[in-house]
Amino acid sequence: MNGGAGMALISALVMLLGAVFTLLATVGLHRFDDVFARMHAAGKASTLGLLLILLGAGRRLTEPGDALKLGVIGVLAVITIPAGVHVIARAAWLRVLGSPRTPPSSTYSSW
Amino acid sequence: MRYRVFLAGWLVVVWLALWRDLSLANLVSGVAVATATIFVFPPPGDRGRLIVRPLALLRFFGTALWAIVRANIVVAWEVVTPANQINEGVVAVNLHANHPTVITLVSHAIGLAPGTMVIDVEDQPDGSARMYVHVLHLREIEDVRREVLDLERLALAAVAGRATTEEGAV
Amino acid sequence: MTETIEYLTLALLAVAGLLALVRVGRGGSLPDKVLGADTLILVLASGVAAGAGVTEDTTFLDVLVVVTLLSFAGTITVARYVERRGARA
Repeated sequence: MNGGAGMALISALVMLLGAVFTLLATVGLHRFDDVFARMHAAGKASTLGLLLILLGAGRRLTEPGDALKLGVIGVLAVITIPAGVHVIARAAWLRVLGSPRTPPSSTYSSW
Repeated sequence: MRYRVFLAGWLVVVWLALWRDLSLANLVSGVAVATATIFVFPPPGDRGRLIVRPLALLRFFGTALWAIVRANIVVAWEVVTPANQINEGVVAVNLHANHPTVITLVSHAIGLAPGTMVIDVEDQPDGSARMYVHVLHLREIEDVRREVLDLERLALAAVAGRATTEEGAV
Repeated sequence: MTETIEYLTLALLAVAGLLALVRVGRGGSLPDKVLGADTLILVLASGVAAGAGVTEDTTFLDVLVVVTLLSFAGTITVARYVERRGARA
């Protein structure tokens, strides 16, 4: 039926947008030379990519229980991904840069 | 107390989602399991000082979601264009609240917002917290501080019930 | 038309996974590799979700929940190791 085919097309386009953002996240892993810039790209873009893919898949699946499960996965992703990125950032700052604290609001060059 | 009810409600939603079948039996068993879990394992840091305001909490989540959309537009532009506008730096911000839940909410919002990321949070000797924020496009230090303190104001209004920021408010 | 878009989605996710894997192998320091691994598992989770959306088969959604939580636990574990013991892998 026409409505079903249109809905499937919209879901596919939303999922494609999510895949594009995820790809941008991993391209960012290679484009930047500094681990913190890579964290900015990978953490933020892959979160939105996953959320868009979940949104597209949720429109496609008909059971409300399935859509609720995808929603729970989305909330878990938004809670855990920034926390993981922060923990890596803290470890990189304390260990890789050498000195535990540099003065606040200073700029640094990548090692 | 309302904080614990809020967490128990979230556990019920997860229970229903994992069972995939939104029936009354699952709802009742979910409420039973969630209540038992919350009272056997109380959430850390909650000594009755947190008040959940649903409207302010929704406003906070809405701000965070809009922030991640803005962040990805910035990231997409940065990855695709060849020229570099990156000027990295770390800014220290003195927070007003030192309750772990409020600091966690602010850190997550900063992690989702464009160009900012929390590196470390230190406890100062006088009891307040100091947050070190890594910024990708650093122009004005005071702009970063204002953004972080705005987010902190929203978070305090959402879970602490105070719109103004006083010393040691939570 | 819809099928072409779906195949393109899965192909883009495959390329993204490959790029993340290269970063895990090549990365300059241990935090780089941890970041690559975290992103790789996230691409994996996105791929499972996209597959569930394309084939309308909801068997593997529980895998998504477990994978998200496990990647979080693993990332934190390795990051705390780096804090204690240094970043030279």
